[in-house]
Amino acid sequence: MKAAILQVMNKEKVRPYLYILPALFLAFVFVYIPFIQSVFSSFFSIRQNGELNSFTGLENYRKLFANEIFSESFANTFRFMILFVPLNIILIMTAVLLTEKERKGNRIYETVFMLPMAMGMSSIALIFKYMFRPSVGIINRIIGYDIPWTNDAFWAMLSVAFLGVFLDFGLDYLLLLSALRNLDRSVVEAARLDGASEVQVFSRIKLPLITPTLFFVLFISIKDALLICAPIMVMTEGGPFRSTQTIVYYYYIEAFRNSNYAAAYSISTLVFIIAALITFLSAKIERQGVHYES
Amino acid sequence: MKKITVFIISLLLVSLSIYAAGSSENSDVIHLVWWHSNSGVLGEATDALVEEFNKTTGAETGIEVEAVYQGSANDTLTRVKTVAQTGNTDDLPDLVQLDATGVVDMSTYENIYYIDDLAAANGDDLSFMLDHALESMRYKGKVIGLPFNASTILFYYNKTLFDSLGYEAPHTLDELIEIAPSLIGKDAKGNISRYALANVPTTYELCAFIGMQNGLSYITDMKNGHEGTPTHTVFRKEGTLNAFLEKWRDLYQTGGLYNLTSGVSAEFAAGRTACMLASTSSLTSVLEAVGNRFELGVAPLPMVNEDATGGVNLGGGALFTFQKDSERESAVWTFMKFLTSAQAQLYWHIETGYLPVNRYTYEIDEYNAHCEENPLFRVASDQLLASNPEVVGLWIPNAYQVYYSFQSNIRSMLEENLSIDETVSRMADEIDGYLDDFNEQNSNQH
Repeated sequence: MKAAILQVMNKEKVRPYLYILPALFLAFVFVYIPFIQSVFSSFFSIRQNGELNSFTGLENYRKLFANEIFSESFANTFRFMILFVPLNIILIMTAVLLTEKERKGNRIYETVFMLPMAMGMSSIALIFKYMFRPSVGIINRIIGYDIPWTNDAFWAMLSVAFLGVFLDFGLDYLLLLSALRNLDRSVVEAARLDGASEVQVFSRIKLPLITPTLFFVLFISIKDALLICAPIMVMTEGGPFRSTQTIVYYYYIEAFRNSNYAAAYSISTLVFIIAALITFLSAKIERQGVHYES
Repeated sequence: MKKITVFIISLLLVSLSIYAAGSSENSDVIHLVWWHSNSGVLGEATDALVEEFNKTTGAETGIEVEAVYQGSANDTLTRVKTVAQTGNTDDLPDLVQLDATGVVDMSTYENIYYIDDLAAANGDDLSFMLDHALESMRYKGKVIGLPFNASTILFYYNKTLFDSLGYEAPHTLDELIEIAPSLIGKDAKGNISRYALANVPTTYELCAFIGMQNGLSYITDMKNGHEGTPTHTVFRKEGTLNAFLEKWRDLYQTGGLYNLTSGVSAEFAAGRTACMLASTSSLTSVLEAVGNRFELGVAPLPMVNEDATGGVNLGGGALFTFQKDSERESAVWTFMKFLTSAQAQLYWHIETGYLPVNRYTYEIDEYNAHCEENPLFRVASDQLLASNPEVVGLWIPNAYQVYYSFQSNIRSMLEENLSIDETVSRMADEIDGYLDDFNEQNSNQH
């Protein structure tokens, strides 16, 4: 028996599949089967205790599209994305460029910038909640303006975007910094010898060379924005007046607060479709527009 | 390689023997698990109560309780729901402490053990409990969970400011409207630095503001969901929400009302609002937050009008339990009796500020002495005792949606000049819609 297994194992073609089998098994049990189940369930009306009640076809989706709260949550998610993604990339790129050179002093900055990775999400969200309190928070005290952070739809969304950036900062910073530092120095040196300015060196040489990493960070940011939920749950609870209630948070509320599983399943299916579209598009753009070193 | 194998096997044997020793040692003792969501001061008081029980009654009767903190009340509910959906009662905790949102789910479980039945099975009854507490947890005529941490809404005000202006706490919303303009504070530039009140009323406030009207009113049919899942709202037909919103709009028009939905307590403690509406259970923390900034005053919730005599509803949390074997069930009852005993409730009240649910606590000398030292707590309990016990909180599926329906529409009314009738109609239609959806999802015929 053992010999037979080994013989199969030795066959080059079968081997790789055997190696990924445990991972595939876990993915099936914890990702694919629940996923298929929720898509299936989204065509039923479902009782409060989770039992399928009766087949209703596309009724759940029709209700969802007619639901103002759903479209509002959808719009909120994109508002968040529009604020968060550029803010994230710009702030992180700035930090990366400022600390690009391997100097002694930069070591301190590197540690500071990577530190958010080591902090718990909920604790950071709670700290942000208190820092952004309009009249008693420290942020307004420092900047000296009376910004209605958590009391106004736009400012609340912006404060949540800052929280998102802070949460993603460490990892994204690490990725982009190492990408920049591992560039082929000879190309940069050659350009400098030819008299290229620092701006030119960055825009013509460094930036194209780090695009694979930059695109990776960009799409991860977009994905994070689409799926944002937990930090918002802690910081604003979707308020004020539901203005920071994103689509995944809405899903959470329907599933875990309202026991409205029919709505929850259909929202999760829709979110999957959008996420799949974005992934598909990003793969396409990546193939067309990214410079890879040969 | 061999060494490692020997090491692992010996480790396994050692841990097995420890496990065996542990289980044999406690074989005569009934081990109860209590899931709760009490953290901070509440957590310490909870642990102290459990320790006291294990040392006294528990040791005598062979019961050992383990209190497990399960995160917020919502997290705890989510966990219970998840376990309950597997259908395995043995995995459920023996007791779980949940707030009102839990009732809607708990009522659907076949093996939930109603407290009257549990008491009767142990030759006991619930006559030691305060009527308000029992009514607050009555579902279809039976007490579904034993109230443990009870609180009501309360009117908090800056007494130093009120005294300097020569005002008493307002008894009615009309009185509040009258004094609101002079409670506003302005800085050198003329910007408002202090509002009279910061609040956007939603389910919590409306349960009291509607419930108090005409001595007793409800938001929905089925007595706010205490007789079964509600089918529709009643505030439009009964005009109760109109009556409240008329006053509320007048208050807004004084310029003293700030539509704030979060951090209200912090604003009040910082002196940025003259009054606030908050739970009696916040009293301890508000006292601490205010510190020496000003003297804190509390008063009963202002009445919507002279006929609104019903008072406030009792909220907070209750202990739920499930049908298991009878030995375990009676152990649960023993522990529940301990937690709601006059002495334990006194301790819990002093440590946390929650109102005692045992009617005899109010007769203990120590309780009265504590109230004399802390007159604000007396105001809170007097308000409760003067209220109609049948004024109750709202049990409704889609509670989160209902919460936002009230809040968003009241804001629209104030900031976008929506008429009161239009506002009330919108809320009624939205909430009725949610209820229709829910009842359809859960109906038997299709």
